[in-house]
Amino acid sequence: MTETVRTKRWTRLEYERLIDLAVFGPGERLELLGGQLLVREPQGRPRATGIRLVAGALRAVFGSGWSIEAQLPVALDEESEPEPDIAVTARIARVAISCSSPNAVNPQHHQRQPRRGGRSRKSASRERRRLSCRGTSCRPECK
Amino acid sequence: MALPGVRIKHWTRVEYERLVDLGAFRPGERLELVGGALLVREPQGSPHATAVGLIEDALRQAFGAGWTVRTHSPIALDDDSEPEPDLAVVRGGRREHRLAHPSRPVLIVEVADTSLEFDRAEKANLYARAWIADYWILNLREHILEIYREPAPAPQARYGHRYGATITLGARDHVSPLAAPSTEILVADLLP
Repeated sequence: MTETVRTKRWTRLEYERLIDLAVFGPGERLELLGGQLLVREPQGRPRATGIRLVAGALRAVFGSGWSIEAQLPVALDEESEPEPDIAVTARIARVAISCSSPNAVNPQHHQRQPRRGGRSRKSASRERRRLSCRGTSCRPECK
Repeated sequence: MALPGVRIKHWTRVEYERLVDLGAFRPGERLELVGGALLVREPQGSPHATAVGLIEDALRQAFGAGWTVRTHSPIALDDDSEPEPDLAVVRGGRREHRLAHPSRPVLIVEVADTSLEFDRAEKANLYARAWIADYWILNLREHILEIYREPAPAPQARYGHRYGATITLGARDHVSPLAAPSTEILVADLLP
């Protein structure tokens, strides 16, 4: 592909809207990095073991005020929502969203939506969105 | 972003058309789906726009009734492509494709200045794979008309196909579309 041709760059908000609209197929694993939608390859057993070991070690090192999350979305910047293998975030994340940070998302997204019936695709995407709000913005000093 | 081991999401045409229906794109955002990639259509300069108008006039006259000359309109080319070529000639009237985009134009024309290499390689192979029999590039850099015909399988080529015959015509030459063989168009009439 030549330089004269540009691929579409997605913003994080557009990406989250695509998730809400259930555009992606079931089991399709993606992450947004620098405006590009990247396919997350299936992981082999050594890799999964590695993630488990790292998570265990970090859990032992960090205290109860921290959560160790494996492969959950991080609202990194305007054009990125990666799903790092491991991320350590402060547990105050849900409170911290009210602080004015460039990454902060509308607080109403953080209120747990009442569940109607079973766990639909929509509620799954809401859940994902809620998780995705735990961005790097959640610094302890925001409290 | 062509890092090894990293794959960009490959869109199907059905997914792309759903995105269009859902209004997932920004207002005024011009895109086309080429081989699974969502490409941004660059704004066109005045020579480009003029050339498209001139070609439209010439093709309309050459083909006449029973054909439609479409400009910058989607073509349902294959499972992972919905390009919007500068011009495409399709059988029938305008309303023929109100429910679905046409998939087999008898002629596709791209006007190329900055996109020349892409139109010659990527797009030509894509159109060859879809068995588009007559593909023209109006090359604004060299003021020539490039004609690509005889699509054929070519395992080494991108998309597994390429055109077997290439003809280059200067301003004083004439061209006859394959689907309107009794007509002649002067290349100079197409150049801005």
